[in-house]
Amino acid sequence: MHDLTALKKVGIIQQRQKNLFAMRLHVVGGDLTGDQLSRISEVALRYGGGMVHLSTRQGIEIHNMRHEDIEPAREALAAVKVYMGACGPRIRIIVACPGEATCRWGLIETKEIARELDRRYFRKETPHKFKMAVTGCQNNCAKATENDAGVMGGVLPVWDGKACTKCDLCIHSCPAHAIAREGDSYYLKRDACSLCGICIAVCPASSWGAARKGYTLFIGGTMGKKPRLGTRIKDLIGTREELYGLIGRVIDYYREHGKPRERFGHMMDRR
Amino acid sequence: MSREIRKTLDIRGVTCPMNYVKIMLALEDMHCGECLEVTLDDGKALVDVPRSAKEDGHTVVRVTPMDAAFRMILQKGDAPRGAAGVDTDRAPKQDEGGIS
Repeated sequence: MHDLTALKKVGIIQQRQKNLFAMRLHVVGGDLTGDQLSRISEVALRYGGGMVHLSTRQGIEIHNMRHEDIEPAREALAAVKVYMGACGPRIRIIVACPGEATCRWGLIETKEIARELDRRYFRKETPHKFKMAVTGCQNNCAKATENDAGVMGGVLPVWDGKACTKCDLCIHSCPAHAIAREGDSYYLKRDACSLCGICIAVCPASSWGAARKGYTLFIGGTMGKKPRLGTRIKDLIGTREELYGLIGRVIDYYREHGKPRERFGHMMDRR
Repeated sequence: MSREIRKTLDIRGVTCPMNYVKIMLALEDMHCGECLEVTLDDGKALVDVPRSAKEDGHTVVRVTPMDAAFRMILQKGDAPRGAAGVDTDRAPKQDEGGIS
């Protein structure tokens, strides 16, 4: 008899067909090298009926594997540094959008943060599954607000009147309607500002500039049977250390107060 | 530079990216410094058009709200302002310290 719980820990999941298993692989921020993809493809062709499945959170799975093929497959993948994923009540793989490295809207280095979160927290035990995502800006492509812990890049705009041409574009392009004008001056309604940086990007005179960038942390997002969007607990977090410290405390709190099979957000609503 | 409106263009109802394509075509046979008055829908275009215009070296002179639309005056610039992805306007100022 196979220890199904032990297998789930490393992302090996018994299928509906009890003699077959799905192998869930470890991916960080949706990135894999060409060599890694080639090897995954070879393993799928050899052991998995030739099919590769892309999961909804940037993961990769090979289904329909026989139990005796799991170990050779695992070894073949480990040789190109592709390791097993996670299932069950523990921290899952970290999702990330391209971010500042390549995306014109990206405000933060999402992949670097995802790698660090992965290094610190991947597969750590939690009351129920715990999912994290890192997204570069308000467009929220990596759906930070749908994850138990979500990091979003933000930038605080500041107005420098010297070059301003009074075109009013900032007022009308702001999605949060957070910019207003008084005479010849423009000002930001900080509470309404969503830190998206659109005003900075579109200002023709570069009068709106970046005062500082920071990280926004959302917690308690979840999909599933009772969807809930994450609650913003702090924005413009200035350093990665502070960000990681906060996330660490969130996870510690969950481990202490969460009930089995209770998602973080539902725990928040209960307490 | 002259601020006269040389041409007008109504791109209400035109979907992205055709809205900016039409603007580019209208600007093509205008001289640097001349202005194009564009009527456009509220929504994505209000952000995408100025951003693309800025990248191509053109300047938004004025934006005025209308009923469910906006009037935007664009002044033709001379040369594109730099490659996509290198946007020094967005970099945090040196002495303000970015995120570590």
